[in-house]
Amino acid sequence: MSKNEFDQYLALLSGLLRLSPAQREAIASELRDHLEERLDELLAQGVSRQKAIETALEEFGDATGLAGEFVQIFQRQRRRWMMRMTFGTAVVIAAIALTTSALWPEGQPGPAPGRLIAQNKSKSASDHAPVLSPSLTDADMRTKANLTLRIDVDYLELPFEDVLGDLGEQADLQFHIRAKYLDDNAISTDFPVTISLKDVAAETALELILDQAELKYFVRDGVILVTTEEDAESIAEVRVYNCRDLLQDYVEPFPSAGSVPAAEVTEKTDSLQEEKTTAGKKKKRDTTDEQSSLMWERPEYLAQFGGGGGGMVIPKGPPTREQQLMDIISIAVMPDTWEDVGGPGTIGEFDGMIVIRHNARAHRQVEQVLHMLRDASSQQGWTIPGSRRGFPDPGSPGAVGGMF
Amino acid sequence: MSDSFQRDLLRGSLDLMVLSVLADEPQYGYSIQKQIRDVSQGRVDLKAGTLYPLLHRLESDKLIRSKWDDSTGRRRKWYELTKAGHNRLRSQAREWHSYVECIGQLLTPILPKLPKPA
Repeated sequence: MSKNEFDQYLALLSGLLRLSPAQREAIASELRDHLEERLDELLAQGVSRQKAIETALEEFGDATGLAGEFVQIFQRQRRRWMMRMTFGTAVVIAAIALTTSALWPEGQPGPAPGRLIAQNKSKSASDHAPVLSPSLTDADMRTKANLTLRIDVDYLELPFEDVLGDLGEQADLQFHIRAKYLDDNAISTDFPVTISLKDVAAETALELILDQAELKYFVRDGVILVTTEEDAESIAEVRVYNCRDLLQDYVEPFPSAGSVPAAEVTEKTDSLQEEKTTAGKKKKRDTTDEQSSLMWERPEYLAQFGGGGGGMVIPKGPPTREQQLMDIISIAVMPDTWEDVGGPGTIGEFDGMIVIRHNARAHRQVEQVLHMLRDASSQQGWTIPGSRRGFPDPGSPGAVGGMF
Repeated sequence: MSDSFQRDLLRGSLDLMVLSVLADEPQYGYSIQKQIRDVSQGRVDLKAGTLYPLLHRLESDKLIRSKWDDSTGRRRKWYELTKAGHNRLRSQAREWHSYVECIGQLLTPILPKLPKPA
């Protein structure tokens, strides 16, 4: 008897739910459990069976209204997904299109965008030779790996601190808000966040959320420190990126220095500082003047490496692959922040290693650019355009920087 | 036991009530409803037709999460707070506390003049 009436109500409700069969079934099971328990309770209180059934059903209200409420909740969720689809997809496509169009050798057909995107999505950073960054601790590396985890975020005016709590839970991340710096800029730590993205890297979600209050983050000993742009950008660090795989045609110019491990290179960064500066400035000269007051052609430069060996290649005119790679990085990553345009960032190259001194955000973008280059080159079997080819105009570098 | 609270009064606080019931351990819909009824001595009778959409909305907002479990001998959908839910509960509880204090202060001069509630 009871089962029958409950069944009728739930069947009516299910029929009104314009949801997937699984969703309908889940809702019906949950409500049935409630109805049955309520019935037992009322019967235990001595209420007649018929009256108990009526009361239990009454408490749910009419099926149409209830179904409407459930549908509304799912529709709201679906709308958020749609927003995420259009926005998220556009970001990925634009970033990849800009990068590939900037690097693609003339005369070779580009990849179908679909293939590139699919590859970008399915591959994790660990598929590639790791970027050599001796300054990162194990905890940093763990955090970096967790930042690539794909998560769903769906917040409607949720306080910022709660948002970080959820991100931390979903992607196993630790956050710390540098509240003092937020206070100084009159930014509340619980400003309301509204965002809805599905299957997005935790890092992307975090950056888009922080954007809403013009906040930035950097990682220290595995902890993600959230702070103001000014604070984050003022903290610079030196990192060494092993790019030998991207510089495949690379001929070691200085065989005697070829075996220097990356960690030692880091320690030498101070002495490399001058070289980096020169290299950074050089790219400007290259475009106008193919003259060779290049630092590595100068005897005093060569002397510090114990003299030039037979393997030395002296660049004549067109930029070398290393220069091109550095150009790509400084154009794709926050282009107006490098030393040659009066910014704080420096970039230099040594033995297939790119040495960069910049803030955490820039380093993250550098990693992404290198990652995309590796992705694209491993897929298409090409490397950075050869030294015979001029460096193509990157189009709008500002847009590239803004994409990451 | 006095009368039920007015709906208007309840509207803004039902989420908070449900979150606070879930603060310590997972519960299922029926037990949440019962606990709120008991604590309020029957003055807050959260109807099933209100409770379940509310639970689904909180879940969709990622403040609570659910899982099916039959370890109690009955297959049930259990809800518990997420970390974001715990955080929301804390911040809302603080907010309500100061709201109540504020109302209390405003009403202090008035209350003694009113006849005592039955």
